[in-house]
Amino acid sequence: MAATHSPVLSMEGVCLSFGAKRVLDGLTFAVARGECFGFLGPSGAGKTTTIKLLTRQLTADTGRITLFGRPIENASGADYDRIGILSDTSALYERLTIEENLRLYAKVRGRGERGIPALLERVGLERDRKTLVKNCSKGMRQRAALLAALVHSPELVILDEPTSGLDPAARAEVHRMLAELRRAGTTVFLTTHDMTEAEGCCDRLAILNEGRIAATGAPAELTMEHARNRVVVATRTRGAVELTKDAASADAARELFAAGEVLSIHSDEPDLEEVFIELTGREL
Amino acid sequence: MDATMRRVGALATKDLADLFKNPTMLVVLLMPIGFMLLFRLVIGDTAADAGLSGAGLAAAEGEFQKFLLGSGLCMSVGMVASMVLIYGIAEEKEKHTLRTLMLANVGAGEVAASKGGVTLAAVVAVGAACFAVAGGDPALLPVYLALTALGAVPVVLVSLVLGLASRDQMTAGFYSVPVLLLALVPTFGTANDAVDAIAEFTPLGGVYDLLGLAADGRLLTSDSLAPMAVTIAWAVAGAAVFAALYRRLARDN
Repeated sequence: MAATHSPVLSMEGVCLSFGAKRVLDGLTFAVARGECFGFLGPSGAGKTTTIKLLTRQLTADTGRITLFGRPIENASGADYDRIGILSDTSALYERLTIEENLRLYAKVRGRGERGIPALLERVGLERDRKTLVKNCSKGMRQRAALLAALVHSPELVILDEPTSGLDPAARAEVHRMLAELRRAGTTVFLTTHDMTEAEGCCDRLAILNEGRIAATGAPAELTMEHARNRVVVATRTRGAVELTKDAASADAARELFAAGEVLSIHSDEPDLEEVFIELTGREL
Repeated sequence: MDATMRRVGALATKDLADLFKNPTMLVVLLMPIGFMLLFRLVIGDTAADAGLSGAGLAAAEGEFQKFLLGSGLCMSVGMVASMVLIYGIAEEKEKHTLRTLMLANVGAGEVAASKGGVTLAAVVAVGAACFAVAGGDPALLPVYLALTALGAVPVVLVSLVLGLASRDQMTAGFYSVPVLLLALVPTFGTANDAVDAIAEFTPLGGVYDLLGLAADGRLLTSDSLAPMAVTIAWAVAGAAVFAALYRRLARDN
């Protein structure tokens, strides 16, 4: 889904400290309408803290945050009704069924209950709709909590590590929902420490490290920006030959081709994880 | 305003359903009724076995009836309001459902209105059951329920504040016991003059005395002024405590 230019949310020079510890240091980014923007970083990088600022659970020390084009301090209840939030601790009522929980959130959000069966079907929970949340697996709970955040068809969805702790099947289910949201033009702000998720689900990424944004861009751009000047040629008799991508290597490559030595050629591009390590000096 | 009413209505439906699905809360609702049954069976027999007859027996039975009704009122308010509210809110905080609600644009005031309203209704319903078990005069029921609701107001407000102040259910236990004890003080007034003197100034002391006056047919006399003043003072104090502390406490852990 192509993003338009109007930013749905933005931060500019946002800083936050807890006591003497600076947890966010000059965060600047903007999320355009219809975009899936990923915040990628290890635990403790400041991802959840950023979400707490966006949801007004915390207030920034300095900097400017806007929501739907307005300073966050002026955001109204109506603005927050346009947002669906799945936090790292989102929880449903354990003694109510999945369906009862969704009904509650539909009523709270001023939406009818008619859309609930379709939502349940989307994530494969229609047969479990009468299951008490306390009897649900973690994956079911997470999917149900995600539905509760989406029950009012929000324009902006803020998801804090939505697949954390899920098994591969449940993760795939959440990723499918994210893809649907993108197709529907919903703006998504997603935090994750999962490189595959970031690469597969996000239009753009910000790599966060120790409260600072180390790089921003589309996943492919980030990897291309950090591409190495190296091509590896697998040969019949000379093993793996490393060539650079400049004119100087052209003759060497031609010679290998002419000699019938070339088995395969691999561009040695880094993946996101390598980009992250290169930018931050540490692993996720 | 419509949105607020809609949210409070949705929350109240949920709170009511949860009240009956939570075994702990069900026990809390049944406890006052159980105690009333026990009082009536055990103490009732003791009075009958005391060998009183005629006017003496009638007077003793009247006093016993007032004690039963007063105890029912105090236990309904004390047990239900303190336990349901303080534990209920603490559980929501501990299990992060309160935070999830607040992230869905629900205000702490809306949560408080829903829980306070449902609890008040539960107090009155349990009070009615206690009244039935005590075998109260049906003509006294409307006054009894009105006094139960009036007496519950400050306890509900203070319990809301304590619920919001509780980080978890462990803390809730610590906070709820003083509220419960304070609510029950009037029931012990008959046993000790010193306790009786203190009891009339406790949150439920006023309504306890008003109930006694109503049972004697003296509710609309000047004798009601002092207990009514005590009751109103506690309701105002409860509202003031709530207003002063709720905003500060109306955030999740």
